[in-house]
Amino acid sequence: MFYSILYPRREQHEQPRLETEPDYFGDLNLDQIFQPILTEEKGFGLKEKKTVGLESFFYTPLQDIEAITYRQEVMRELEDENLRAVFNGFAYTVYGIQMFVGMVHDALTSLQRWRDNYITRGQLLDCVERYIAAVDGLCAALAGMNLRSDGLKGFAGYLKDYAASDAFTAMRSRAKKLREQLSTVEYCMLIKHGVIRVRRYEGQADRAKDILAIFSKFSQGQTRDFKFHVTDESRDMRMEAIVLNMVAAYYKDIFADLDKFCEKYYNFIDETVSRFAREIQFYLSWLDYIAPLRQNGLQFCYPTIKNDARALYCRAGFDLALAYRTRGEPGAIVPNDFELNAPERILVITGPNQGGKTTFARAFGQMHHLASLGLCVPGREAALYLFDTILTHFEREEDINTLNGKLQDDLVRLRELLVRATSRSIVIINEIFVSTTLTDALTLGTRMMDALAAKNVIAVVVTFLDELATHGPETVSMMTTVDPEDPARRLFKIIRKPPDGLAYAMFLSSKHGLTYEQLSGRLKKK
Amino acid sequence: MRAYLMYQEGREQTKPAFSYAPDALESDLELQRILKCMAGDDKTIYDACEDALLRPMQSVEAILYRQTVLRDAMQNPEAVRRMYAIAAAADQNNKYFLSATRLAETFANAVELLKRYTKMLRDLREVADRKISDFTSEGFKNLMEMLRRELTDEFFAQVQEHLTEMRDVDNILVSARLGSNLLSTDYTLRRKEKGFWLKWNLTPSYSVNAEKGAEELEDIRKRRERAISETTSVMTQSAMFLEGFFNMLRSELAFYVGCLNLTDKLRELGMPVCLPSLLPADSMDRSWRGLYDVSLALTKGEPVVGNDLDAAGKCLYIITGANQGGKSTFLRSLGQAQLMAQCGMPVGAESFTAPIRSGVFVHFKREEENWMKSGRLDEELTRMSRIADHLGAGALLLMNESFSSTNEREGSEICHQVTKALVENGVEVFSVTHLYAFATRFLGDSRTQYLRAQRREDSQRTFKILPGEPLETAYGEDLYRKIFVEQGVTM
Repeated sequence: MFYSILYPRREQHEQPRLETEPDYFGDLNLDQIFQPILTEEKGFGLKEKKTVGLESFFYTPLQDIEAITYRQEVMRELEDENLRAVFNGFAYTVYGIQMFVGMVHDALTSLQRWRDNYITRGQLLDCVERYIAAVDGLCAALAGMNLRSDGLKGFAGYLKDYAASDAFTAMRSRAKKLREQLSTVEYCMLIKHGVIRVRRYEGQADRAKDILAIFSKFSQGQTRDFKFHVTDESRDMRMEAIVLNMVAAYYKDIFADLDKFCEKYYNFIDETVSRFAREIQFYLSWLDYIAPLRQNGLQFCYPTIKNDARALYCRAGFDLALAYRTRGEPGAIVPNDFELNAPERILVITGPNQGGKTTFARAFGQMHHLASLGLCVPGREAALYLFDTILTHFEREEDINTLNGKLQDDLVRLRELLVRATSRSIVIINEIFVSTTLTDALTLGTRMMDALAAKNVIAVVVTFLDELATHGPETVSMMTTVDPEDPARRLFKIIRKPPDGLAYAMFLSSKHGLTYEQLSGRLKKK
Repeated sequence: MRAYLMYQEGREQTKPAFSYAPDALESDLELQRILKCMAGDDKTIYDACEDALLRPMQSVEAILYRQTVLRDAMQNPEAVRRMYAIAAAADQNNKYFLSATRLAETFANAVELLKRYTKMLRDLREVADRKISDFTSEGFKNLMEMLRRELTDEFFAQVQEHLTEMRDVDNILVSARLGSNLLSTDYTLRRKEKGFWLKWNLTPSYSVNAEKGAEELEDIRKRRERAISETTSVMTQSAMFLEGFFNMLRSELAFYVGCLNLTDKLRELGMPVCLPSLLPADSMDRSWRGLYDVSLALTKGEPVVGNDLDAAGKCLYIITGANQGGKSTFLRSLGQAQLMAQCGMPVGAESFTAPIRSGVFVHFKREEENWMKSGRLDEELTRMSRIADHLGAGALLLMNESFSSTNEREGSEICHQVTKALVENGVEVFSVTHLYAFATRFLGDSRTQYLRAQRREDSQRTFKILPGEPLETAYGEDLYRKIFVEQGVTM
């Protein structure tokens, strides 16, 4: 029996999920990647968490290839634009109804007694009608489709049975009848000082029409149509309800029906349908998010998930946070490949700064997390590792509060990292030991490589220490590349290559006018 | 009516220039903690002290003027704080809401507001009467004399007369003229001459029927509003003038109250505080005793280590030595002292003598900012290049581990070229560095002073910075032993 579009089995859905971002989110810019999905603009640059509550699904890596495959299949099927539009509309409608029903429930159970009134009940009837229309509409849309994925096929079958069930059919006909009755009500108000009086409508003539009829003969042919505009929004709901209550006294039967209807259909939304409407947005929001990048030629793929690390690779991967920020403009993003064939387990990235080393390391971590969620990931094709956790070590700013030195902080964090790491872990280390002397950095860096190799982790190490790139059979040396014609120009291509010890700092320095000659000249001019 | 406590009369128009990159200065030198201590929760003090601190004065004379006023404040802390408290009470006056929509209420509020301001003025006069002979500085003496000259008994008597007459907004005297269609216009509120009631008592009258005459009552209400609108405006305007006066007085006093607060706090911690001696801008001499990081002392709430120095004819100071040895702290203490000295503040030291500098600049190592497009070295170079656009001969530049975002060989080369160009062109540089190759490039140069974080035989750090040339030995082993070996973790 179908339960969730995100997990093949109910037990998996009931496993606890992470409610807060994993530690590595910030370092890998995964927080930036998901931000547009999980928050929305509130105007004035304010962002607010979306109320749909999908966070935990984006935070929690799956540990099970079957579940990942279930999601990959659903998402592949949703690549079809027409199908996506159908589910998008449904999810949006059901979400809106749920929000509104929440307010109605609040009012019906409010301590302010007056809020439990016929206006509120009328709103509930409205919600029921919209829900019925949404379910019937989706059933009709799905009827002619030939769905393939277990997830979507399962849901379509469930929905068909539900819409044809006795309970749903009864609700549909009762709502229709009640609406017909309510449309026959007509009444009059008498307002004097602070007094309003109400009666049934008894055929009284339309004063405005009569007056117009009396005076229209005076018209000199002026075409200007003068009208005061009064908005509806400032309506006092409390007064509105009091009036309607008076009206109800004249139509006791109809309003008794409304009461009964509301009692019966207080909770009218099916739980599985509601869960689907919420969870399908996991896929829809992701596909929406990457759509503009694909339009600009960036590729996404459904990676093979590997239980062992004998042959991992990705072709044309890229940093998604960076790509999203540059809107995937042609040329802004340089895709890169990697490959790890046993016994290789550690990628060591060296080379000139600003060549995309950190970006490469982030991309490696990002694609693994994204793949573990069952999403399509940056790249043309990929085989990625089923990891237990990602551990990152990125530089932090010195904080006077800790009264702690930078190197000490580096080492303490590295120790925590190594204690947590297992052979199923992915470790990403970005520029460690930069605050100490070269001698220190080399000794400590080598020890760190020994430890990573001994732990048998999959790792990416970004470093300025060329020596680490030739640590042992488990290391693969990769380097940033520069344009041979103009060494100050970065190509952002990272390739397998032994470290060459050459960096291009002086070119950069001259670019900024900070060589000795340049700077002396600048200062003398003053 | 103006007070001249921050600048001598006539000089207030030409304030010293605001520091370049103030945010970097404040965060790298931890100035916020100092300002927070000076200000407590008082934003006016914070702003006044921040503004002073970031506008280093360029003449010994101007600095002495402020030091003299400050010394006077330190002799008379009670009177200074009292005057500040009086001026600060103006804050509470904004509860008197003045708006055009409910004019009768606004009228009453404006009267009440003027009453309060008058009371504040009386309080000020009282302080001036009592304390005028205790003050000796030009700034405070002039202020006291001005208060007594302007706030006379006659002034207060006139104000009181008006305020008494306007007590009741329902009892007003108004003149008007006839405008188009003989409608009344030009409403003018009039004062009631003595004995007017006798004259008015017997004139013809019409009574509105309060039971049925809602429209009539409404008409009376509108007439009254027209009558009082001009007067209400004038009173509002007057209140704004008074608010401005008290704000001026408050911000002139705020800096000195801040200095009193800071001095009190540091003395309470047992840390020395002194008024520094400033040398002319062309001097290359520095000398201090017990110079410490004021913000560190405030953070820890206990005494911290101070440093001594005597240097003559130096333009480059290279500070090396153990991690966590107090190098950054030393650099901060100097930056703070330089800025504090040049705005007339007391300095966290037993004594402090330094030349006037055209500006204080900082180039501290930064965390990798989270825009990934530009690398860290590029960021450092960009920042240095911008600084180079703004500094010139006579400036002081504090460098903290600059160019350590690339490897030691490259970092040393860049750092050497930049530093050499700067000192040769009259910039004074203090450079904390781990770049051994860079640090040793100036050995033997008579204008370079080497300093080193002290480390005792037993590996303990004393946080003292003493003259000394760079050592190549690294201290990473210490930390490795402590963090890994002693915790039983292998790496």
